Amino acid sequence: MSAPSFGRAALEVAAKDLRLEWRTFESLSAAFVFSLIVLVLFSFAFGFSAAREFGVERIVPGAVWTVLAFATVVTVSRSMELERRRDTWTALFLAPVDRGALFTGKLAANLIKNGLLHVVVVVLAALFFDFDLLANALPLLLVLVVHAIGLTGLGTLFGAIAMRVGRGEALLATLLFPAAAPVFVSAVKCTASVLAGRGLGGEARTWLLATIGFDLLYFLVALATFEFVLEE
Amino acid sequence: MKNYAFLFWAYLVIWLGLAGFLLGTLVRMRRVDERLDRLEHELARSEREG
Amino acid sequence: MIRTRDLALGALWGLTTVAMGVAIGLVFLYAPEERVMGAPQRIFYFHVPMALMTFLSVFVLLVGSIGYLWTRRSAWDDLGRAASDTGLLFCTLVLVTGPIWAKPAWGVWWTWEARLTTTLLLWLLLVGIRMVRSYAVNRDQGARLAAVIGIVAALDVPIIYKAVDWWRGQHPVLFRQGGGQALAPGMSETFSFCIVTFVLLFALLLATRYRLARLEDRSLHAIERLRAG
Repeated sequence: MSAPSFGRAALEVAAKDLRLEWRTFESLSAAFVFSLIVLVLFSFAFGFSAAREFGVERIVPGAVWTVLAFATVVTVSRSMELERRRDTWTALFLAPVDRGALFTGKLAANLIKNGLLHVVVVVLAALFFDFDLLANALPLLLVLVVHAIGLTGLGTLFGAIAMRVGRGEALLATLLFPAAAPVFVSAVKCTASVLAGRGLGGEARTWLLATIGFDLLYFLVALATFEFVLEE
Repeated sequence: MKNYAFLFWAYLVIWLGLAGFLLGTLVRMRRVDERLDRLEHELARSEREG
Repeated sequence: MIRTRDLALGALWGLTTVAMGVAIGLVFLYAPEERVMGAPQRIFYFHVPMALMTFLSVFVLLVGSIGYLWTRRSAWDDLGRAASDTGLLFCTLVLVTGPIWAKPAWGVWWTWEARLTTTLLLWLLLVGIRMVRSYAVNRDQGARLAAVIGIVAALDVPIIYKAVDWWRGQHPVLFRQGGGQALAPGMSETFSFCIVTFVLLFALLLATRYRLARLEDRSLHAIERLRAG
């Protein structure tokens, strides 16, 4: 029996994860409720009308990305928890596929889940904090995609590690946030730039390109090291 | 002078930190050394007997 | 029976002690007083080299991590562990002495400026590596996972440095090169000597910690053989 190709294997892993999510909506619903609560908390913390008083681009990007960062932790750790509960890690590990393909599949599934969540959160934030979403939709979408890849990529790798040692979200957050700090900073900067009407020019463009580099670097690192994480 | 008081604490922290690290390492090494000696004696003994 | 290993370590001890003595003399007696800040500035002859040693530790951690994943020989993991420990030590010292200086100098214990923030992030990464090692189910898993995180963290350090720098930037520029303040001759020599001294100190701490890790390895092996035999 020939081993499935990299792309094929990754696709199957991703499809399995997404199918499961589609059936139960387990991790997305948990992450969504969590995000909603934190958004509400932020509005209490800063006061509803404060966003407009201070300037939308000063509070909103930080608040939104904090919510998204925590939501990423929730979705990723749920995704890893799935494998642990049903004990499919061993099966995955024994399968004659490139470990990198396993990672890519997991990453793809997490990205799609997170992507959906990110969009929902941004729409909610637009409603709560009153900023113009439609005018900035495309640049915001680009910012979301590029930075979600960074957060989710590192998150998937660290999520697997946290799961291997039997810990969950707390350890994942402890590992992820310092490591992904550059992505977080870049995300807030770029979002602020878009909301302030400066679009993705100048400074924001540098941050965006740097983050794309970051995403690529850590994708390669994860491909190279995932097998060591999966080992028994 | 206020500044000097803080400086004193800073230097103290550095020396204590470094000394503590070294001492701690040496103490642990001593303990592991003793444990190793005991273990290797037991190993030699059990190999002689077995 | 004295082995060359012990001789080398002993020599390192002696050399480091002497160098440190000379360094202290240079810092307090030889280096000229800084115009703007006065005596408190002297702490930087220690503070900056310690920060540099943190980076050096991270580099050695990277080497150890890659070495372990490549060869699976525990010696590499021991090197990584030793480097983690020294890295955490120096990072903690930098984080503690920084605010102690900052309070009288800037009026606040902490600001979110570039260098402090970066050091804090690095500290958190090093603690995270330690946590994963301690949570691991067995020695090999701990070594493997810590090595993976070690690689990610080590590669991240320059990135975090640059990113936070772009984002902030207000650290005291006491030793600016080129333009601006030219470094007074007394200062630059003292500073260079202190860096060399701290590299020696780093080597000493790393070597002793490595020794400890190797010894612990051997005792673990011995225990396993006893249990099996």
